[in-house]
Amino acid sequence: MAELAAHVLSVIEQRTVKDAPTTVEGVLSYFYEFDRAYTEPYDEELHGLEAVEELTSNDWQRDLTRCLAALPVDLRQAVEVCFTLCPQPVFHTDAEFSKHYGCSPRTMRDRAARALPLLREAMDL
Amino acid sequence: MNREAMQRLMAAILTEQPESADARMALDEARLRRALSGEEPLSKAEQRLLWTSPAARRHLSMLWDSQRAAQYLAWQRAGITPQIAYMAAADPVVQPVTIDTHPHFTIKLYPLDTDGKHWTIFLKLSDTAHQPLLTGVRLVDTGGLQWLAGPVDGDGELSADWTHREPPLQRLHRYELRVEPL
Repeated sequence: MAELAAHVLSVIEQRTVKDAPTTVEGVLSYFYEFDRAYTEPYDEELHGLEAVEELTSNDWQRDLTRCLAALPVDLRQAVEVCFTLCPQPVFHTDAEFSKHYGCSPRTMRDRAARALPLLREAMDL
Repeated sequence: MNREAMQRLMAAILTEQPESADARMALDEARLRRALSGEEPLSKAEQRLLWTSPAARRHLSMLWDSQRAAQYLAWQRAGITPQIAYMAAADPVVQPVTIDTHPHFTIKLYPLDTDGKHWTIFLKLSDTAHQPLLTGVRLVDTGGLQWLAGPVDGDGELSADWTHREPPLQRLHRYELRVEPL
C-alpha cells in the first residue's frame, strides 16, 4: 500500500493534477477513508501488526502459543479450527462437520469467540 | 503453527481490546518517528503501551505507512526500483554468489559450509539509494520470505545469517528479490 501511495503521488506530480493531494499523508488519507483495512477494526489490527512487530521485541507468537495451550480443550480446539492454526479436514456439509467434531459450526464459532477474551486476559493485553 | 493464521488470531484478540487511558499521549508522533527511524528504540514500558492501546497502534500504523510511502517516493524520484532481476542457475554450485544486476542494490551470498546449508546474506546499497533512506530496509523474495531486515550501517550495508530451511539458491530458482523500506 505504501508503494501504491508513492506511485499515485508521483503520477499526480507528473500530470500536475489539480485539487489532488500533494503529500504521502494526503494520498494515504484516501486509503484510510475508503480501504477496508482501515475501516474495520479487525482488518486495521491485522494491517498494523507488522508495524508493532517492528518496534517491539515481545515474542507474541510464543506467548500466544503458551496461552492457547492453557485453554480448556474445547475452546482451544475451536480456536484451532476457526483460525485454521493447523491443517483441518474439509467438510462440504454442516452434518459432516458435526459428525467429525461433535458440534455444529455455529457452536464452534461461539466457542472460539468465547476464547478470545480469555486469551487476551492470559496474555495480559 | 501457521504464521498467517497466528496473525489473524492475534488481530482478532486485539480487535476488542479496551483503550488504555493515556497511551496515545505517552507515544506521540515525534517519539514514534524516532523509534521508526531506529534513532531511539522504544523502552519496554513504551512497547507495552503499544501492545495495550489500539489508538497507539493505529497511530503507529499510519506513521509507518507514511514513512514507507515517503521512502518509496524518494527512491522513485531517484529512479530506483525495488525489484532485482536475477534467477539462479538450475543446478548451482555451492560457492559465493554476487547479484549485481541492480544499479543500486548488490547482494552477496556466502556459503558457511560445503553442502550449502548455512549461508550469510549481505546487502549493500549505493550512495544514491542510501542517502534518502528514512528507515531500515528489508530484502524479501517474491515468494514472501524475508531474507534480511533492519537498519543499514553508515556504509549502506546490512548482513545476517540465513535462518530458513530452504537454501537461498533454491529460492532463487523460483523467486526474484525485492528491497523494501522497513
